[in-house]
Amino acid sequence: MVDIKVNYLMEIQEKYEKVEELLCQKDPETEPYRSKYAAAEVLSQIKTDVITLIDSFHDSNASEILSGMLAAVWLGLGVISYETETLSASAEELKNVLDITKEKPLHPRFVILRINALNHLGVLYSMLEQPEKSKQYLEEAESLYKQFTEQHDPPEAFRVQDLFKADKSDLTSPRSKAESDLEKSHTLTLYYLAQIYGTLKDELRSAVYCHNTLKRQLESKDYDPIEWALNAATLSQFFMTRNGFKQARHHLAASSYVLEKYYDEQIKCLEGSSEEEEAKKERYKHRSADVARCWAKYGLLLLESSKERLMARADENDDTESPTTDLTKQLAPDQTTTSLDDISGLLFSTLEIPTYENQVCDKFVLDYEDALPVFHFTKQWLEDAKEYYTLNEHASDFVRITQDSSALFQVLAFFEADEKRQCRMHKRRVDMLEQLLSSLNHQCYLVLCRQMWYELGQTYFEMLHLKLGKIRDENHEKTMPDPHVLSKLNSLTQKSIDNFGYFLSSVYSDGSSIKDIKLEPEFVRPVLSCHFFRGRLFARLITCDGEQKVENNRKSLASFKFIVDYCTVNPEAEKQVALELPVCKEMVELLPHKIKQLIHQAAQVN
Amino acid sequence: MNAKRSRGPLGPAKQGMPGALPGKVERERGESVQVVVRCRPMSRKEEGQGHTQIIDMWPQRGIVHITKPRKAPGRASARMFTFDSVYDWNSNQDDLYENTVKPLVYSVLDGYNGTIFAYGQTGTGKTYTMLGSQQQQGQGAREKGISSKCFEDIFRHIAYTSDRTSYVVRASYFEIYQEETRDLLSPEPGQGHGQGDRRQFSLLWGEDAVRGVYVKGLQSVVCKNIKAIERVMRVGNVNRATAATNMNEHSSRSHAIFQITIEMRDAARRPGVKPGQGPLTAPVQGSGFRMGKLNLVDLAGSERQCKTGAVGDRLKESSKINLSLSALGNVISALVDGRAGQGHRHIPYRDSKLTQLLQDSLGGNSKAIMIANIGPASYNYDESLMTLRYASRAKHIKNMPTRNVNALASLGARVARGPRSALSHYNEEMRALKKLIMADRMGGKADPCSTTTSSAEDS
Repeated sequence: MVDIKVNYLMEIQEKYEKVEELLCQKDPETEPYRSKYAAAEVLSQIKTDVITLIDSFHDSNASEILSGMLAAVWLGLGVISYETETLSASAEELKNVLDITKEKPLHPRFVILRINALNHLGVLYSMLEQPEKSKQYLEEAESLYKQFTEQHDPPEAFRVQDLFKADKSDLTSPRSKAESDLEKSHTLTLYYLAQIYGTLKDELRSAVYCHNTLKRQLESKDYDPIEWALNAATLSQFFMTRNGFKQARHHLAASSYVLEKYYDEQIKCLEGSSEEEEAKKERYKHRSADVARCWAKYGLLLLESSKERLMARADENDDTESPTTDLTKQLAPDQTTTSLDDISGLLFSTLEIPTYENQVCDKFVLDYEDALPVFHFTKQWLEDAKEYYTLNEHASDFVRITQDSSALFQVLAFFEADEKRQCRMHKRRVDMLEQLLSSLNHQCYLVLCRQMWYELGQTYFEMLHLKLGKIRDENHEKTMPDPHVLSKLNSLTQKSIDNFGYFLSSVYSDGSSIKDIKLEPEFVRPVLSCHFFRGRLFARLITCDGEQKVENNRKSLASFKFIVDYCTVNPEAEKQVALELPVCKEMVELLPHKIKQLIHQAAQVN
Repeated sequence: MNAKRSRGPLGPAKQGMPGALPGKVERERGESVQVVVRCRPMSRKEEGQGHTQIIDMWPQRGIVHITKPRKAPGRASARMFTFDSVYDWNSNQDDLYENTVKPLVYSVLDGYNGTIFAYGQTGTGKTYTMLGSQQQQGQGAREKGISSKCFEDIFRHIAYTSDRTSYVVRASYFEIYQEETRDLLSPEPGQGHGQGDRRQFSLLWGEDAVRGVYVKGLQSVVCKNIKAIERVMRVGNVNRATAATNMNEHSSRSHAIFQITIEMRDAARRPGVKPGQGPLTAPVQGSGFRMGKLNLVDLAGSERQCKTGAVGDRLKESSKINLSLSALGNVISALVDGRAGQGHRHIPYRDSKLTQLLQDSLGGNSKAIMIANIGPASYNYDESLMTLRYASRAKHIKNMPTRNVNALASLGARVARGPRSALSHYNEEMRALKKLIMADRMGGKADPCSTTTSSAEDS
């Protein structure tokens, strides 16, 4: 080996240290890039020095050392150009790194440089809104890491700053710390890929890379436990909405595990009451309540998806729906770019978490027996979440938790065969929603109140049907039910009508003419649906008073007429009530006849 | 478009609350944020430096066109955005105020909540829009900012109606800086402490069943006239500036919220009760009490300057890679948000304070306007484009009226059988009705107490 003169190397090393120093400086607002420009200046000097040296050495070892330096200089310049917003220059400089390292991309001296350059190019092209190109660079970075770690065990490589060390020992062998630099660069590659796949709408793949990022944070032990737990729990929600309950449960279990460990190690021992300690405890409580809510969503969604699956099966008669809750088994080979390997890797293999997982099942439930434990499990998490999210401190969260509780009873009622017990479950819903509505400021919480009014309308409707069904089943002689029962039926009908009415009057003023009512698109369906309910409900009020009966039928007619008229004025609404509109039209034709008859009858009676 | 949307000359607010249910608003605009964009003229300096104008506007149609300067990297050369209204360099403060803001101020005087968000980079005229031009303050109507005009209208209205209604106007002023809330009206003890101690003075937020979202322990100053309220704003602005070591950086990263609450009580009806004593509940019909709240929000500047994620996380442009691993949560949230839509199936718990405030400003009892300010010159391209996108996303914030995303599935109690059986179910209902009518026509006698359809219900 022909020696490069140490004094040259010393000079370069000093210059590089100067660059590092400059890049740490904080610049004044008026000249935000001052030290970055200065650093770029020095880098350019190093570049000239290195190129001069390269021209005088042809020895392969020396030229490798010098190429490494040159590539590192280009990388530094590329990053600075990026940060000072000269993107096209940045792209050129980063591509120089790729050129220099392309012969030996896996060389320990080049690999980190190359991965970093690829990462930066990925970021840069995402800035330029060319996600496909960004993806190509990042995927190359990913596979480079894979190849390197397969070939090198332990995967030792040169850190960027080591490339400039004049000390020979540093020049010849990689430093031990380099491994973590390589790992860090790779974590960033995965993290950037997660974002690019997200941009490219390859959501599953993005989720997989989010998982991988979380996993690497866990393995490197370089993470904030609360942040990590929250992220894992959030990600679980992605999996559960894809029926990946196995994966969702695993992520939630990991989240609980990490939280609990954090509690044991850092919260339990806090005895003081300094602001800092209080803040720490508060943050823990807050985020634990969030994870509790995610667990509750898990239970609720598992039950609801089970219900949907059973219904779909009953409706279609053939079971096309895949009954699995494991994403790995749902994947059709051509369905996505995500491979089976990617998904089966969705495990935090370093965690011992079966005890956390086994508290609840991850399979679709089939009957009440299956559903009950999930119900209790979910209810408990909702209770836990309510301890933090109280009505007095976090009103909207409290409302949403209550809505989840109501939904939980609703889905349990689906699995319950006994109608009387079903009715009781709905009664629980009605009670919790009405109680909440009575303590809320309707003006402040209009959006949530509205949702609850609508739900109450539906729930009373459901209860009415259960009661009617029961009467029919028990009453074979078709005799009149006794007055007590009749008044019960009327009360349910009236409450359903009222709640749909509250909803409607919160959307437009009573008595507005249809031409003046302009509904946002997402309101069309609910408003028309309220009228449809009311149209059917008014006619169902039981009365012996002829005039009252006429009145009820008129209200019923008015409700159906609203739908028909609204669709006439706003034809684009038709598709939102495609099923109901013909019914309404016919009702609007038939009901006047009926009303006429009723008037006639009433006259006869008098 | 502008002209169509404005309500014309707005007289004093209507009296009383409409209808039995509180929270009704005369809604001409629906539920989402009204977004307007304003572009300032090219400055002489910009023209002198040879910058070209890259913004075109069609105020009649609410359209903004932004053309990419030739030198800038990337694809696509021009983009179009549509907003509720746009105000070009020929517009003045009055145009914007009269057409867009005034109706909101009057709805506040009707007892509703209103929020005006001002957004835009430094140098795009955001401060001019909100505060007017400082030098000429008080010298002519043209140069007054939106906030002064709001104050004027509020106190003018009060003067007109004070014989019938008694008013209490309170103002408070706070800022959100990196998720910490600071009262701008009560100077911090020991102001020399510097940024490290900021945390200690951060106020907590609460949200109770009656008041909604509020800041705990926030000072509020009763203002009897326009001078008083202007003074409150000035004091707050001074406090904001002195506490910050670097005002420019600080103001581009913090949101400042000037909050005006107006309590209104029918003077004739309740002479004995001091205004402001009653609980701040929903106005009960007949009590003659109403409360309106107006928030003037100065939103933090650019995304580039603000990488902490405080600028309303959900509004942020997501196509660019976020470099910091601390934003992994945002990446995952975006993934989940995209997946679950706005339904109830997931928990969007990463809401920032600003999002909370934004959420409180939307929905039936509230109106919100976002005024996005942009600069016209070529070197502003990136930031203007970003602002337009941000504003465009704000336009799409929606409140879901019902909890079920798939409203069709929620239809009828017999959802369990899917839409097809729901239909057959209605048909049953109708057949029964027809039978009844036919039977009647043919002289058959219907059961006087029958319900129309109960026999068909459960076919």
